[in-house]
Amino acid sequence: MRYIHDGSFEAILTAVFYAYKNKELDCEIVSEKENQSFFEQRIIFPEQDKAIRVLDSCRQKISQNFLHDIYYVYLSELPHSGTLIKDYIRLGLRYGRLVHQYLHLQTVYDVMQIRKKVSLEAHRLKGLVRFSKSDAIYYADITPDFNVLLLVSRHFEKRMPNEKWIICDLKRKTAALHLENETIISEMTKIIKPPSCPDETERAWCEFYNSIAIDERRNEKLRKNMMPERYWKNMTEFKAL
Amino acid sequence: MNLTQKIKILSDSAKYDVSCSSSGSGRKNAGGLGNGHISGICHTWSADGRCVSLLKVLMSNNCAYDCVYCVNRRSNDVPRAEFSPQELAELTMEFYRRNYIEGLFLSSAVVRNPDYTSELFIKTLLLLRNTYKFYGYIHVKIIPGTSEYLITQIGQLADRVSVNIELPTEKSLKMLAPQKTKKSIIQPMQNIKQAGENAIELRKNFKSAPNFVPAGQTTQMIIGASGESDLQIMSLSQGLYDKFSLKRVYYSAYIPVVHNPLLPSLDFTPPLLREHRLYQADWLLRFYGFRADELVDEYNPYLSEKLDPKCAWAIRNPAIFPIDVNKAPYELLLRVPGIGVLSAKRIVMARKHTRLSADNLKKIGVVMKRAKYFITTADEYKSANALQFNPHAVGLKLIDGGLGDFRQMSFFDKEGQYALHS
Repeated sequence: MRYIHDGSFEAILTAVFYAYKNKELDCEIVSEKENQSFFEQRIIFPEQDKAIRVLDSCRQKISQNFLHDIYYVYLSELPHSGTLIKDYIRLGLRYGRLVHQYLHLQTVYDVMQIRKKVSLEAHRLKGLVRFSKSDAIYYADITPDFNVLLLVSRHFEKRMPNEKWIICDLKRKTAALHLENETIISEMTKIIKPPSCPDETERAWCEFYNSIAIDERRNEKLRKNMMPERYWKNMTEFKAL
Repeated sequence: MNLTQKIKILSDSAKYDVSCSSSGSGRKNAGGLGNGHISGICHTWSADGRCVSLLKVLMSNNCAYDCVYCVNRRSNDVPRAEFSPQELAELTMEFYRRNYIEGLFLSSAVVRNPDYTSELFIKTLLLLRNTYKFYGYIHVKIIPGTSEYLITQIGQLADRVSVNIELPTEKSLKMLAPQKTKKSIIQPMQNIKQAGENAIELRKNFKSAPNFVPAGQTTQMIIGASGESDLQIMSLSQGLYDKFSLKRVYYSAYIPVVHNPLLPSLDFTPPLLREHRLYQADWLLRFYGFRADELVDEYNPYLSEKLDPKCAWAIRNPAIFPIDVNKAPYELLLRVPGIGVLSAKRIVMARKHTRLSADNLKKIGVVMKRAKYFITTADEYKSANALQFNPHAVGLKLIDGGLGDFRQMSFFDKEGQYALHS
């Protein structure tokens, strides 16, 4: 059996609920986008009360941290993440609070790997996001592999509570807006472009970036290992000024 | 002189300071700009592959001292520049808002004298912390010879401070940095440690008592400018960790920037591999429970260039191995080449639920390429025994091939030859 969901976290959890209710625990949970077969399938619409029941029982029977695990898997947007979440919940309900220690089980291992990758990207972006300033608003573009906009914007919410800023995920057409002391995640209707002409601070930063490297120790490979090239296009110091 | 020119001059001479870490401080935002991130955040990596997390600049490069190895020494003819506290504080704020940096790394040449320079630091820090309400990370380089009351003030405003030990022995210090003495370096370290302990004691009783360098103190020394052995360097580091509870010692391969008969010549290649090995050994001291005398001694005063220090140690001590990963205590797991802090912790966690096989270990993150010679697992007992028969052969297999680009003539090639002891 296949459960087809609309790609939201709520719908995945609703699917898990029905998988338990219908005793179809070996089902696959896939999104509309991933689904290519018409074989035995059931369309799941998100139902908030069902999703909350699943979350509550995970919290009570497993742990709060477990909820983070499954949310990170959801943010990864990897194929089969719905099925993986369901399998991990099954294991969680069987082994309890310490399920994340059962690393010899493939499902637990996969979840931990994904959580690691998603947190790594979120952590990297906390450093690599570059704001440019226009009309007293700080504006940044990101194009992350995983859906980490929420994790990244939480960080800036704590860090720059009094500033006005916008972070746009150009890949997913969503933006985090922090304009009036609270952060809103919303869909982007149009693309905002700050002025392309670099201001004095941007020039100063580029000057600093270039002069801080020690020529005798030049090591391109190391730089690319630490900071993969796919992030460069949104960074001030790599834009031709 | 405009801002960009100043930055060029003052960051160019600050870049040889190694430390750029922004970890260890969880300073909270209390209604201003910024906060500390306990594990630190890197904001970019420069072309030499080093992480950049702090705005690393000198307050001024107009130095009163004449240290032989330094570009900014008084007798050298270079362009000079100086930030005003106001300028530097504003620059830091604007860089921070754009998320270029995690905070400020403030260092300076000696302007007039150590205390005068420190007063400039304090002016800048007061502007940042009080006037601009800046809660980001601040690292201040303490100048040897600074008075205790100024150090106390700086420590209450900064997240981390460091005093550079510069050269590993007093003899080299006398030769190359005649205005700095061992006492002028050690004394501030002592003061910082004391003030830190006092602050912790005070805060037990008064919650509002000021914090003192929450991210602790570090130091840095130059490797390869003078003739010290790794044994001298490692023993010094061990002593610093023990006595002053330093968070870190940084090692910096000497890069010739000045011509002087007392120093290696200008075509000298920086001993990057040696620096790399020292860092590896340093990690073993801080996180793996090793002592310096286990890694180097008077018979082996240099770390092996070919083998990393942990492998070299393991091969010198074959009697300890093989280790049963399903039973060995955490401290012993840490000593196995190929098992790091994280994988040792995971092993301890996972083996509660199952007996671990070689395949399990791979998933956990153990580097089996190295570890396989030193352990027994649930499914394999054979491989490990190879070591007992022939540690030398295992050593040859473990020799690091991955450092190809790193190879170079060491300053110490003759004495520092690799020796395998079993």
